Amino acid sequence: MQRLWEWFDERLHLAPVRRALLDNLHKPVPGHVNWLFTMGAALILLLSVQLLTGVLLMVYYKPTGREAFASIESIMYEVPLGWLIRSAHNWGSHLIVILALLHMFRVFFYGGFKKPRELTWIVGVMLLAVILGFGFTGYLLPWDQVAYWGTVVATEAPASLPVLGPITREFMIGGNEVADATLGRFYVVHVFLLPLLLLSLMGLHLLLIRYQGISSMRRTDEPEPTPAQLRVDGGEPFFPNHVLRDSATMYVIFGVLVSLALLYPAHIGSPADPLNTPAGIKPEWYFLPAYQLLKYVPEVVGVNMPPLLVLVLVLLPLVIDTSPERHPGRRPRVVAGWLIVSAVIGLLGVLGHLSETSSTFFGTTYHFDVQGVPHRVVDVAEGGEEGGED
Amino acid sequence: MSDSPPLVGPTRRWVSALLSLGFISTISGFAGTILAYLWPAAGGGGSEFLVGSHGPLRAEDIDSDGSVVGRSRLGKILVVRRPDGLVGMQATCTHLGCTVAWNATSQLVECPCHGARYNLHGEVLAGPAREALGLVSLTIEEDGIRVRPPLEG
Repeated sequence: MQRLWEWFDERLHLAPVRRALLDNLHKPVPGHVNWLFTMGAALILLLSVQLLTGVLLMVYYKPTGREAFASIESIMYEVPLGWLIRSAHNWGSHLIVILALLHMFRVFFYGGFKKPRELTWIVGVMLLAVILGFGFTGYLLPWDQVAYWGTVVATEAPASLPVLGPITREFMIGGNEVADATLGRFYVVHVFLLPLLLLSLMGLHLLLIRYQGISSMRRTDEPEPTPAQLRVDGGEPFFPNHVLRDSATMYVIFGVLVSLALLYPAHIGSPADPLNTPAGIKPEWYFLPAYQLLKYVPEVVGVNMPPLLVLVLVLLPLVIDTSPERHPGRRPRVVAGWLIVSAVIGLLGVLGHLSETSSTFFGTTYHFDVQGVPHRVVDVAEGGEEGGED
Repeated sequence: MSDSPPLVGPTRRWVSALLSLGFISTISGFAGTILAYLWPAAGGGGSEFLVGSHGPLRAEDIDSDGSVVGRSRLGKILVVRRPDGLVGMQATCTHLGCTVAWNATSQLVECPCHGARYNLHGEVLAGPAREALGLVSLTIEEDGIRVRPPLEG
């Protein structure tokens, strides 16, 4: 091994690079770093699993309107352990969004997005957009009814934007309606363009994190702590201490993923039928707030909200929260705004989930209409009629 | 040895501008080619007669107060049988593109996605849609149901 290293070092003069890498590896993390700081590592694991399972699915998947559904059926019921690979891919996509949001919340509350780490945050926001892009494009690929109509609604929405809207939509779906051309486009974006973008942004994100180190809780107008100061303040070495913590979280998350895939395998509905929209069609849970919003406001408003939100996230460290304080208690307005917006998004998601369903709460059954408004369902046996309003 | 003067001043700037122009033209050429390749092809005409998932649709396939959705040259069309004949209209909801359906119970055309409701004149009665569904003219022929744009007047 030593001789191999010497062979390379003699030619490429790697010793300084090796020294810098080792120094970086042992650079301490701030004393306040805890288990909440391991979600990034869990995301790396999940994204790796997605890449691996995605490549495996590509072996059997056929991206044409005629064959896509049958190929997914074949993966689920004929290919050995195909159901497990697809289920892991499916559950992985959900866990990634959950962890990415939790990761973002953690960075927000600890003020880690502030100077001098604005770029890391902005790249992170771009990564979140890429992750949602994966969800959006991957949703169509099974080519079942839910996938088809979810995509119809999602791609129709931008068409309401003036001037560029209809052209954008037509270019995006490759014609007047969601069809073979759409599947081909979404497939290429899902399996090639987005992974390329993801890996590039992820590399940049990690590079920035390792180069600048994890943020301390010092005000932004105070100098960044040196490694020696971090050690004095109770900081632990990144390796092995924090890496061990990261590894433990990764292991647990991997266990959760495999358990979910085994216990709740992904399902497939009926094949896409462009002439028949099934009732209660809904997008993935993380698009439910946008879906529900479209029921209350004009399309042009609803469609612009998600990109506007991304813009707000990008502007957060540059314009919105530029105070030198990192502690959430010392920047109450921004934290309150964040919580209110999060609560509204969460509420829209819940309403979107409940809309056009019936649920029983404390013995009373309610039917939630399209807008998510509950109507008490009166038991017919008691002499009333169904659908009576509360 | 040449006695020509060294390349300075305006000459260097011209060469630089020319090279930049060439570079931009090359990039534009590439981008234009990719855009043209990806631009959706013009849609093929489709049939004048209504076609369902399993072939041409016929008037006798539609029960009393029943309906079918099929494709034609004019897009997706909803046909409803009423006591006084067949009524035809665009089947693509003007809100977000889902396929509407005839609800015989409510006697309305409804969109299952966001709850838009229309009457048989295509007018919006409720829900988020703001534009009416376009009506079409139907004629029953030996080959099936012919779909035409609505007759004026």
